[in-house]
Amino acid sequence: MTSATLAGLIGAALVGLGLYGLIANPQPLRKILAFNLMGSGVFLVFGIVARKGAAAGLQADPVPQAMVITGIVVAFAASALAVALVLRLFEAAGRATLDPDAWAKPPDGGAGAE
Amino acid sequence: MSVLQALDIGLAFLVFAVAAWTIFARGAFAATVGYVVYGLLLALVWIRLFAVDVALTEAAIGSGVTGVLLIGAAARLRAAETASDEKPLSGLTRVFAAALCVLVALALASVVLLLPDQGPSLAPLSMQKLPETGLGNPVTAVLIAYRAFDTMLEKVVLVLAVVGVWSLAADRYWGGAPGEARAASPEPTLAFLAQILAPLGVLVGIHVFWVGADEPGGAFQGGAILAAMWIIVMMARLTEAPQANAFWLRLALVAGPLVFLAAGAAGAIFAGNFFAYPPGFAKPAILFIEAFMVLSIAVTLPMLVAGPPRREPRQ
Amino acid sequence: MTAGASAIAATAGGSLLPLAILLPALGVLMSLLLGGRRAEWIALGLMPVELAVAIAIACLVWRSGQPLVYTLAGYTPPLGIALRADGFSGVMLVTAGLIAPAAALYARTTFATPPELTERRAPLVFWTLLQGIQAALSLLFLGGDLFNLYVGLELLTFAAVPLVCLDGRPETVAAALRYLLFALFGSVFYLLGVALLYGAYGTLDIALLAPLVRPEPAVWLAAGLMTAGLLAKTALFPLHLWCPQRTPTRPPRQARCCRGWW
Repeated sequence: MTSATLAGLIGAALVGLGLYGLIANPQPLRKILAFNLMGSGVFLVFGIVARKGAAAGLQADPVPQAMVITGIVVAFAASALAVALVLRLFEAAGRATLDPDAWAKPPDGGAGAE
Repeated sequence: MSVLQALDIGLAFLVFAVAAWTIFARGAFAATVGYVVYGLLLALVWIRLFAVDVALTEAAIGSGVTGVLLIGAAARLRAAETASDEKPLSGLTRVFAAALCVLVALALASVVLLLPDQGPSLAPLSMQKLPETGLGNPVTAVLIAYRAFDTMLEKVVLVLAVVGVWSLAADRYWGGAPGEARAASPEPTLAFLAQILAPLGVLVGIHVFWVGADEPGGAFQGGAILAAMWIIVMMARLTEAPQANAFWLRLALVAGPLVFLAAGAAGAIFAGNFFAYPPGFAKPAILFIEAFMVLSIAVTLPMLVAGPPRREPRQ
Repeated sequence: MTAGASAIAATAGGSLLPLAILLPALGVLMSLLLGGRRAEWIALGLMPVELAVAIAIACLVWRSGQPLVYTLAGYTPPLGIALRADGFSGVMLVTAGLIAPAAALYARTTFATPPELTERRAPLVFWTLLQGIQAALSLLFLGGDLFNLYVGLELLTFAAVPLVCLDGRPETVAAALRYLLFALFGSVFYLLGVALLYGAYGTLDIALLAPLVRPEPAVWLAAGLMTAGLLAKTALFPLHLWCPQRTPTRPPRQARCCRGWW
């Protein structure tokens, strides 16, 4: 089993792990972590595709590598936006929950919008 | 089994174990620290895949800057965690979710195993067109020459992210500075680290950017290192974050994508195609664009980590 | 393979295609840079130009009967990126080009900067992100490359999410966060499908892929993943959980803009 295949299998496992974390964990910050995990798993799948495309004197196909670099930057920006939303939620209302029913009734003490 | 094979298997096992811990750990803070470790291990995996540019990006942005962001958030959300009124998912839903995830992972793994050993690749075409760009690093050529349009739009995505993060400020703080004010007496250890590391880091960052034209490296990696140095200095409270309505800050944020866009338009006039480079002039143009990209990245990433403005703007 | 070759050859008038995407992108950058009331002027000023470009593209496609094609940076697919406008894209571009100024004029009263301030949060964010949505939609209508479309999806998500919670109330912030997480899940699944398709066929260009695709496990899985990802983004059952359950008050104007586009 080559290192590339091993990386690809790990990528598959990480996608599964990340998806489970995204669905099962109720806290928003844990969901953001799980999304990042899932993203890096997808990038590893790109990685095995790149390694299998070694040709013309290169050890790995450069196009998937460029896509992964773009993807890493976009994933960071997404995490930053998501974290800012979670922190804003916590600041404004004292708790960070995604449950829609929790927001349907006004919280005790009536947190006002700033 | 050779040493490298043993290393690969050990690395794979470690990566999976740390990732599993990140998902199943009790506290969010512990999980976040696990994620940073996971990112560094992943950089090693990328090196084994012979994708050094990606390894640099993963270590700098995927693990480094994202790690700072998430650790800061986890620390601030500790209070929310203890007072949590979250109801965890029922056991049955969890089993269904786990089954679905195992299914997806197995399907993906089987497709990965079925990939042919020598798949279709754009490597030959990339190498064939490389001399036109004057570059020696094919990944940089893909990012700034062949698929420049993607990269330029990705810079616009970063600008939108900053606007989005800033939009979460309260109305009265709009235009102010994020983060904390400069400390009268900063903590000595952090201050020492910042004073030693920052100048070296700036040199390393500029070097990584410059060398990326021909060797692994490039604008994203170099820019991320510069960003990390500024974040360290801000964390040590030796300086404070700039105000969001400062013109120089806004100029630095949009300079990268704006120069890229202008170069793309100039390409339409001088080279016949949007984002094309005139023959013989490609490498200087690429380095010029990349320099502004480094500036923008070095300013955008810390602004995303610092968050929305939290102090009133000074006039 | 003449059909494939003609699908990637640039056509006359194709230079309008990148313009449809780059004009709103330029608007985003200049709005943030110049700020204040000028963001509104830039947005309103560029909209007639963008509408004219959309109509020109639609007319050219109608007259020639062929899709318009443009290869960016002079590199043809599979190495480069192509933009493609067929009849459907032309119609969608013109529709979006008409809705944008309508929504903008309607929103002028809500998102005006009061005379005593140089800049205010909600107006600057609104006018900047509105142009971001325009750029994203143009890219989605004209993109001919799978990864380019991924960047377009991310552009749309980042532009739309902050608009949902522009009023700052906790309920809307929670809704925006839910929307963001579902949208991110959708894009990751879509990207995974792109990886599998590239691994199988070595190209990201849609027109080049079309004759190459055979029924095989990689393609089935890729199709399934990409469909699931895009379903999550449009909130089709069963992935509709992120849509706001109820809107007890009159929906704010920016939500109306978003709904008009969806």
